[in-house]
Amino acid sequence: MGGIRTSGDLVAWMQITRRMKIHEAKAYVAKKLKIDLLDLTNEEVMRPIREELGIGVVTSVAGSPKGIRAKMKIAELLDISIRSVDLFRSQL
Amino acid sequence: MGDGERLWLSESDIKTDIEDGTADAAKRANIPALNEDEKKQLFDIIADPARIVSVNPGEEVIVTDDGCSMSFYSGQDGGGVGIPLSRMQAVLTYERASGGDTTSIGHSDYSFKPVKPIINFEKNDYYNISMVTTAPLFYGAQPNMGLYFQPDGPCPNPSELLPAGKIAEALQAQEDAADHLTRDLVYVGKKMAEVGCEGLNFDTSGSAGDADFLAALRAVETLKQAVPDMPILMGASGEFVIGMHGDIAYKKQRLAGLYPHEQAKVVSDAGADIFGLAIGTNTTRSVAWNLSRTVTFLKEATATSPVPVHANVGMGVCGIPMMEQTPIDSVTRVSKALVQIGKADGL
Repeated sequence: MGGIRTSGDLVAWMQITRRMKIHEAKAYVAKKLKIDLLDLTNEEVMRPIREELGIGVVTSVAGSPKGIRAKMKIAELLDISIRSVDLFRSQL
Repeated sequence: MGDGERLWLSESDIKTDIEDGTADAAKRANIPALNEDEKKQLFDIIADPARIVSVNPGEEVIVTDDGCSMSFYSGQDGGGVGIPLSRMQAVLTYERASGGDTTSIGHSDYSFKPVKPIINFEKNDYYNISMVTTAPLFYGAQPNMGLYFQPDGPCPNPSELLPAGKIAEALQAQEDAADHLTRDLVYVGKKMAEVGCEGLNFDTSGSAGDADFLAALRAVETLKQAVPDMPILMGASGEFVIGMHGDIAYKKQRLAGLYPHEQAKVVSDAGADIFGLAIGTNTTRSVAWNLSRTVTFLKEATATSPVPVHANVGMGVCGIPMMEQTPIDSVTRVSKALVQIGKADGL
């Protein structure tokens, strides 16, 4: 689906943390992002959304969240537990 | 062809191969064959004049991998292109330059057994990389029960015992090896969980037969009890579980001979979150024949599996030709058919 270019990583998080099949996972992510299903893979739509939400964009914007900082926001956005984030939070 | 040879087939030849392929899969697994509409869809995908084909917008699926980023820095025997990158650089390149939906690392040998003595190295690398990745980062390897037989491991080798007529000894050796393997899978899984592991991949489970498959199932079950929030992907190694032992059961379900839709059920029962389906490619038959079989197996698995099903599309698997540099014509046709007709939740 394009990973962090679009929303592939978000859909993957839902499959692996909630056992959601592809259509359910995509619908869940689209609802959280308040966009149409078709726009999940629309770079023109997803790029500004990802930048605004601070969940990581594919090109390197200096100072913008990536890695664990972005994953903390992804966990909040999708209302899921991400184990690396939980570990990181426990160390703060 | 299944060996990668470019072949010109007539319309009737392709249709015959599609018909034969789906009939073969349906007969073997006792599942429905593709219907007329699905066979037409498959023909249209295979006969598409474009070199590269793809699914329609909105039908895209995610991709998990078995150490894909390792191919950036490994050598020919790992399908690698030999670029001098660190593991972290390779993973980040895969995530950000290739747009991977998930990423992964694993031991270069890609088996769990050799991870044990270097577990702290792996934990450090995993932790460091997980701090800079955004997409899910799996730790993966193959259970690979073969490593527990002599001369590589502690158990007598069934391949030597069976020809000598030592049946009971061969069965016992496999049961003992499965116990060793289960312990190692659980050990590595628990250790990786300590550093915030976002997902574990038991890749190519059952490669040494039903006892190998059992070991992975038991490890999944144990790990899910110990670390319930750690996602586990369990992939199979073939269209049916090979009965190297023959009398191995998990929760009263005999494992030998289980086809993908049945494999998905036991994998889900064990607690895994994604099932990886693997169908070996027959190198002497066409991609159309191989793909028709695979889609038939996959369609039934996705229709009945309680968990998402990802179709493994590496070299020589699920209709992809068995060769080092897989032709992009075949790779894209296989991918499209697995998603559009087989209804894969991912690749």
